[in-house]
Amino acid sequence: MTDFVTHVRNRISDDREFVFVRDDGGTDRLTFTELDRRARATAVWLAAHGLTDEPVLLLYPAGLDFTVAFLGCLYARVPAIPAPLPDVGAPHANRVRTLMRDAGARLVLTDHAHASGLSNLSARVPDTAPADPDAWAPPAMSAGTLAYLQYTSGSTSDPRGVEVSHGNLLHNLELFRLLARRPLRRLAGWLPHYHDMGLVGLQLQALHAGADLVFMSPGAFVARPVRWLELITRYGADWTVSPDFGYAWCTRRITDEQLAGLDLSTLAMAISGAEPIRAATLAAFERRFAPAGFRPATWNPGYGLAECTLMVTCVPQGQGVTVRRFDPAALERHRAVPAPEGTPLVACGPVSGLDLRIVDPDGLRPLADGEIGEIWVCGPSVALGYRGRPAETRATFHAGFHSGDGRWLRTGDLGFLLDGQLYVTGRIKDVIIVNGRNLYPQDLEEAAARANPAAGRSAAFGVRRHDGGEHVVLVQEMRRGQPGDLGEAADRIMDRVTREFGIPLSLLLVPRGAVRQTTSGKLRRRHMRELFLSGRLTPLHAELEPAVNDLLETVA
Amino acid sequence: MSAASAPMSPDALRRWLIERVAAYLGLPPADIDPTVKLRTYGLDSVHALGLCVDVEETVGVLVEPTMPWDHPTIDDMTAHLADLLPEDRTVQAPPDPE
Repeated sequence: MTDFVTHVRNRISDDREFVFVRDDGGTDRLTFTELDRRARATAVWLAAHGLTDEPVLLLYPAGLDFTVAFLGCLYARVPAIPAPLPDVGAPHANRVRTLMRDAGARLVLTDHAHASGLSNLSARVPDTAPADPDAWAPPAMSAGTLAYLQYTSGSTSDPRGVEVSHGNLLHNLELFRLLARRPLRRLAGWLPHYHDMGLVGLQLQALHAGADLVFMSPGAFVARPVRWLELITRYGADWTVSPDFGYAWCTRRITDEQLAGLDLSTLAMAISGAEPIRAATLAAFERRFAPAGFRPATWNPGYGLAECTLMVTCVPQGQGVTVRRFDPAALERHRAVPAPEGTPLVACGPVSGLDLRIVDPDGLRPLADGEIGEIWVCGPSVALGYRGRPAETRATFHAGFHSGDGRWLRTGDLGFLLDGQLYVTGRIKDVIIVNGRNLYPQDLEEAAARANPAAGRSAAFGVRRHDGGEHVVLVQEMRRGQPGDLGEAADRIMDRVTREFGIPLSLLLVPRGAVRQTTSGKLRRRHMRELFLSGRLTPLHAELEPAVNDLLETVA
Repeated sequence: MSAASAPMSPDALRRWLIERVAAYLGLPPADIDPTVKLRTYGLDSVHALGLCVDVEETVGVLVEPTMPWDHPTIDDMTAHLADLLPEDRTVQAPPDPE
């Protein structure tokens, strides 16, 4: 079997269903049979509109309408682009247009509730009432056929769509299947469907495995995280996925009274991925939820990225968590030196089903076990490339030491192999991950420029605090003789960035010329990060978050 | 929230907000200066939304999810919430912090 649609259609059954628990507590349900019927009707509508092979943007709230639309696109051989519903207002609509231009998409689909709000984007609601699902004829599809575009890479002004094929999906979801000892029965979660972990790890995994999916909106989870664990309890889910932040948020928020009503004993798999995994998060969750029947052997820490569909490595069921400690100063210098009191790192599982190597990012030579380098991946899960970007695709997806070496993906992440497991230590790409969300330095720098148009260049980068969380640092140049108090300028920039991105940050105001560029005018963010961490930046004014201050004191 | 009923004065409100914010940030309450912007301590949008839910459940008023950015210090937020509460309104006092 070479395409995802044929695979899914072999699993159609009245016994399996998708259940969406609305924010008001009510439920919407569709059996696989009904999902399939509606997807066929959508596919007939798409084909009748001449959209075969034309990318279509899906702007949906959390819920079953998205699942139907996405599946309909797959059935019609229409590459779907799941994206978050934009807030009202011109800048947000422009953001969507940038994405559409990049993908070459001409149509936006949405639901009835949002069609009028998105009328400036000419959003349509597929009118499937007259479409006859039985008129659907499967278009020719093979492993190499483009399935959808995942836009989680690249900044707002320079988005990058990962092209995921049917073969990629089937291979990666098979890797997921092999993690469990017994077939998956019921999946529960809250991750957004436009996030690769929400799309592949929840929606498509359930379809692939022929398992139930019970899900809720990300907003409902953040407001009241107990509702996620209540889903698991009420529906007896055996599998869930979340970034580290989701588990940490439950531990922090759930009260003793709420805890008393929970039963997590049905869970066989709890995957943690999409951002650095903190040993402290796992330990605290285990302690807090042991009375509700949560077992430590349930954890499955993993590592992945959209460029490899979703998963690269993951700890299989029953293997348990391995945490080892390493010297923090050595880690900064890219060496893994075991130290009993050092930084704890969580192992992200063995290499299985894909080839993986650790490569010196400068010398492009393979490294030995225990040496830190860039993680390279090769295999059928590695996506086709970035939509419409041959140069970036060659650089990222077609790495290799020599011709005939295979098609290797450069992940931009740093890590090492030890005793057969992968440890992730950092990254050489610029993205910063906070609460499971990818932030791009360009977007943060542009927001800073809007807050203070008279200021000079800026550079944003992420640093990992002692507690394992990532934190944004912004280094902003000030022009000589710029009027006004430095403290006020700092306040304006921090207010703007905090409000726009919902994250705290540390800010250093520096003299003009202190933010370094290459001779070709590219910002040297990694170099600025090294200067910052080694205390070699002399700011005119600094506003440091307490945890980052601690970090600098240790380094110094 | 099963505490004895008692009116929540602005002082009680301020103390309660400090306790909640300190819990989110993992800091001792004594470290939170009610006149300093909370982003300084590392408050993020997830904490902010949690705080809004706490306000809804304990103080009994609905607030915008942007409240912690629109009223960025404990003192600002206290004043804002005191304005939202009717004067003769009796609300449940929050439970004592552990």
